[in-house]
Amino acid sequence: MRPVYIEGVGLTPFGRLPGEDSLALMAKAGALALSDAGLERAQIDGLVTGYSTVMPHLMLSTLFAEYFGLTPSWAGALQLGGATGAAMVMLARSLVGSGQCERVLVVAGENRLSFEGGRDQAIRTLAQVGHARQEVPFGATIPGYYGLLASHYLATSGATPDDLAAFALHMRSEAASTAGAHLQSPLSLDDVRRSRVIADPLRLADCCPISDGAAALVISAQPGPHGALALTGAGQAHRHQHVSAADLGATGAGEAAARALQMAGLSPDQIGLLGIYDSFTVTAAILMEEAGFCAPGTSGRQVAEGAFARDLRPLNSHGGLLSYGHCGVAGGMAHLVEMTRQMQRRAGPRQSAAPCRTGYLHADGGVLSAHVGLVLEV
Amino acid sequence: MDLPLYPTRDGRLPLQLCAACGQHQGFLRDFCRNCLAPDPAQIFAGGAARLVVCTTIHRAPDPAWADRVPYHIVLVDLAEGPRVMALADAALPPGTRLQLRPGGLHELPCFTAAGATGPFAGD
Repeated sequence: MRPVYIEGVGLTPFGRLPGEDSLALMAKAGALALSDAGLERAQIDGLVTGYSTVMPHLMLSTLFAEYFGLTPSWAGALQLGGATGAAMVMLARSLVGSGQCERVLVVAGENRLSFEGGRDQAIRTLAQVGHARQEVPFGATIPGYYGLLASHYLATSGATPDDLAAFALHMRSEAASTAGAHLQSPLSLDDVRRSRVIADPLRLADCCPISDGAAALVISAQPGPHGALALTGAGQAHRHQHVSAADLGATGAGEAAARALQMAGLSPDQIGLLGIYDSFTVTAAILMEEAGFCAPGTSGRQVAEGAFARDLRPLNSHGGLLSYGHCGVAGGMAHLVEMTRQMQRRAGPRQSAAPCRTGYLHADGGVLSAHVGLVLEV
Repeated sequence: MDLPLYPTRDGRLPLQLCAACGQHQGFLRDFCRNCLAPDPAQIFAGGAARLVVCTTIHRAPDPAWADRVPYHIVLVDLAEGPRVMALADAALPPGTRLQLRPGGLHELPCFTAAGATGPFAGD
């Protein structure tokens, strides 16, 4: 397989962006990514989209192609919950690496906050990743499923609620200097401890917001104008759909990470910066530990102690889902956009002083159900 | 085959038992996931279980549940083997021995601590 690069990236602000539907947001991010790579639309021969919960469509990829003015020779849409963005990039890597495509636009966007019904509708829609007959009827929600995971994590790992809070504080601190972040107001440990309980032990500050926004990347056989950033590893694992069927001690994150790192010939301690899916504080904690970046039960404490400070070993240096925001598929892609900027040393005032020559991205969909890991190297 | 209404309205907890391999399964299907034999028998859980983990929901998904907050969702390992989701009538720690509460709660299967005092003790 030939080398595959991230040639350009685009990211809109996340938050409340009224007046723009999913396609309009996708077009905005797509245009940003093309401009970033110095490309015209005619140079894109592959298109991978995800889904929009507020604009369900049988053919989102070709719907977007017509809307945005693309005539690709390959198009398709993926659905893998929160892991969709990373899986789209993994698919684009295969399409380019195999020679099927030269340049694939990977794009997603959604106005799930400002859409009719807003947050309440989004919460009902998202709860449907649970079992329709044997979980959803019990009044379960996404925070409820993750509340079960968090209860189990705290009961078995020795970690404390304050260790989880460390992730909320870290993301908010990073978002403070990121233009376009959804949540930027200062957050203290007392604020987290006092925020209202959503699904015990998860409090509001442990949960990501629901946002509007979009993100896009050009995955290409060409390195592009910002320096060669190669996708050198990719791995997936899928061991369950529903939390009732999950192995709560080994959800598959470790297998996906091992597959991606093995492909790149790297070990976790050789990774310089991290993009870890953080839909809830506990999501990031479990993923970092299962993926091998922290010993069980220690990730929050290490975050609190500064092991993932931006100038040491950046972690979600844009603010993550917890504070940059979460608009569905594009939410998980924002991590990759940020990693690209840090690794190509063009993150502006947020630029890490650390070398950032190797990066690892991990995303999960469902209830730690679908796992995708990606390795990046400059 | 028609799968039974799940959850049942009377608080009972449906299960399936495969005649071919003897496995119980919690997620109802018209075949046995373990051996793919068709038509596992419809049975109901005996009611004994052990709590795996519990969360207490304060932010409900819809108006019907909003009237019931806080409520407790649990994963339990049934004595028959399968792990299933249900309600509990209190926030309980992992490992708690449970029994199914006759009549359920909100017309749904609901567990209570085994041996708890009250009308269900000794059931």
